[in-house]
Amino acid sequence: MYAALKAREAGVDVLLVSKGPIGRSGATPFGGTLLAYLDPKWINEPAKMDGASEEDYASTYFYLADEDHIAKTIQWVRDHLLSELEQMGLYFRRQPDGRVLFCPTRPKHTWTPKMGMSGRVMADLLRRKVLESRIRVMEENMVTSILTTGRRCVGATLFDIMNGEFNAVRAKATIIATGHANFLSRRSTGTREVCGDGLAIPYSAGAELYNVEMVLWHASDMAWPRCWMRLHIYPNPMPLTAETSKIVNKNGEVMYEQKENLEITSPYYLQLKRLYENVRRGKASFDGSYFSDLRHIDPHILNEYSYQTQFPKKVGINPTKDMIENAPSYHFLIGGVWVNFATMASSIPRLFAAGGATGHDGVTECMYDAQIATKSALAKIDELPTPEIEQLQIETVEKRITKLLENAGTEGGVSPISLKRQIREIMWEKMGYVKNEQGMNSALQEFAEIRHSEVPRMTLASKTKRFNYEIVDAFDVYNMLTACELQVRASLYRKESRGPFYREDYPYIDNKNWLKYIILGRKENGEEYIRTEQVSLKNKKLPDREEYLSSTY
Amino acid sequence: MNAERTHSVKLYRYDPSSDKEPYYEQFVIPHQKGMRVLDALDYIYEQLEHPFAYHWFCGTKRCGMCGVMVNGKPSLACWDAAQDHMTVEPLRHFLIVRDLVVDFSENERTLTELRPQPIRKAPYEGFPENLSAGKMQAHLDLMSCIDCRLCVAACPKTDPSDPTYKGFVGPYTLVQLAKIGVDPRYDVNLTQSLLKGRIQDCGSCNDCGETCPNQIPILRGAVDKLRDRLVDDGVYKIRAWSIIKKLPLSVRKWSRCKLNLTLGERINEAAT
Repeated sequence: MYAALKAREAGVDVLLVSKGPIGRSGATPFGGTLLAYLDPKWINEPAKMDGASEEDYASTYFYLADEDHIAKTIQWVRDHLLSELEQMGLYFRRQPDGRVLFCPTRPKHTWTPKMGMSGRVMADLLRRKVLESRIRVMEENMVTSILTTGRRCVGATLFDIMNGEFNAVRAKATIIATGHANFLSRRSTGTREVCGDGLAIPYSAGAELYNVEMVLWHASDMAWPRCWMRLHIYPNPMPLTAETSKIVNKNGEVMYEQKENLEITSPYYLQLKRLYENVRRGKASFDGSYFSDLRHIDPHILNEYSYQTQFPKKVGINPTKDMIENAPSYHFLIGGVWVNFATMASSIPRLFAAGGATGHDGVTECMYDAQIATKSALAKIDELPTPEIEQLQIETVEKRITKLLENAGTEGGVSPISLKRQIREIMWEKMGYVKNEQGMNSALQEFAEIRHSEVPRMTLASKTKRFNYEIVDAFDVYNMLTACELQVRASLYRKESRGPFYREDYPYIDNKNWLKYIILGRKENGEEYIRTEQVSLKNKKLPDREEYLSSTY
Repeated sequence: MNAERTHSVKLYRYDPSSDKEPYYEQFVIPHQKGMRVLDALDYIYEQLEHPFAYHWFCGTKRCGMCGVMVNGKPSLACWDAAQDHMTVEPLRHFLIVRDLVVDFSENERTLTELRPQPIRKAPYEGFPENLSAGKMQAHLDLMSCIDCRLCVAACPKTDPSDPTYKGFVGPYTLVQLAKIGVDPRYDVNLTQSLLKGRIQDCGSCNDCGETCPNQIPILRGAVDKLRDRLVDDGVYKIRAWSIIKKLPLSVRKWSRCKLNLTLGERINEAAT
């Protein structure tokens, strides 16, 4: 949305296509916190309170990130974005004394209006601006393919979920901003509609992907009810208190407490390591039997500043008296479309990517990407001719939909949703936090089996074109298979462990050999390849090798 | 999973492109721990592989897209508990796309049309602007609206099939207008928007506020504050408004809905 607004401001004809309603789907509404990099003078705090640095943030990405990009993002958010958003009308929550709400131990966070709700409010503001700016919006439209001419992006094909119409769009420039949390495993934080589209579709069009093996897991999401598997009980510092949640095993022993590890910016992988140790000792399980404990936190803070705590209350758990059962959820990738981080240009000309689609985290950071991608996309755009599109590419996708509808209701088929379920089960069982070569090879075999034996039998129940979500499910199956297979292949390729990526057959961090991006691509003839690129760190010297489970990244 | 407890779900089905009239399907599904209405719908769709049209994205009370009627009452499927016996129908007062999916686009267009561009009272002087939490409280009260429109389904005055319906935009749109109306940073003239949206048709029954899954004080926090503006501007005259607005909500509901007493609103055309 931010990219569309910036392009519109520049006077360009913009079409915004979203698989769900803009601002109400995808990962943004889940943004719990605004990473704001508060200047100490804004909150009347000593300068030493400033807790964000490039190095700090490189560790969030387990050092598989571009330091220059991170530095520029931090500076831009602090110097430009906060005032732009406030000017647009965003209310950064104030404390009773008028200062912006912040956490005393980690003043780079702020909230609007509550922890757990910030992304939703931000997304709503942008949605309103988009609608008022008369940008053409096609909501609940699924991009089914990226159109190319001579390896150059020239548009996309779209499927309108509401009415079943198929369309093709010609574009001089295309920006992918599909977000990053995908619903690819049994327990996932991804919303219903995000099923690897932002990975599989650009990859199939020839764009390179990177870091797709780097899946971040949440260790402290609600274990039940099922649809709340995306409900994160934040281990991060809370507003106005030095206290953080405690993660407690089934014996009541504290497994993890972020306030003891404040130098670590992203607690998620440390939580996972502690969880794994407890699972091995039989004190917790990956299906539950461990808890978030908020009982030591001031109830006023929980009630006033946290959106999340109303959820346990709704199912009879009082967070000030009871602990909340947790289970891990597959969260998002610190990877995606491989781009030039200075321009956000992908490896296909005229295709750009921003935010979660490129593996970047945080609502505000994603907006930095968006404005860079927009600037790059608009450079000399007036001089570009209107692109020609190849009819054959459009027909191929259209035929796929026609065939699905023609065969709907026939006996002996397999439903798309059952295949989605199978794929998620394979990912949960074999591509969980703990991985090994045998399990991953077996996952690849099972995906191949689905692709070759089950997908051709995929049959819809109804021929209707009105909100026939089975058609979306069918396209999701194609995308999920591609995204998951790529993830397994990259995971097999990385012969070390790092951050949330744990291979029990390589239980060490190998900076000497694997401080590298793993990049996957397809040649014009369809042949797939894997290559690597060295990550250069200017601000940090890492040891060649470290034991994974005892390390802090 | 508790194998003994089950849920009986009667599901509304209707495809306007092919069905002459709606019909219902019945399912008995096993209970899951803490089961929400959405979990029950997911079970039918995913485990029983019985495809029907239903809307949801986040599953955690953020997207506001899973509103349905459960046993005749508006319900956010991801938030409310699955009942042992439940009839699940599409959110009322909206156009049905198919089965449980309704179309919010008309409602959205109306809001975009009615929502004026707010103008800052003073030039913006840089982050963080001088704001007090107290002054922003009224705006904050409305910020947790997730656009689910359960309030519209709950409102007895927004039924387009009711012969007395005159085009009242309903509580959701009023909340969105009030958000900018109560924001101390902005000067905004809402008179035309409110009259065009027929705020005078609000019956003050507070069914909207009672239904809101985020407990937004819709009547007092939005509608009454908008009425205050109209009264202050001399656009709107309400008998004994300063007294009425302080009455307990239950009394207002009773007098308005049971006795059919109106506020005696009169629009001062000259002031509009």
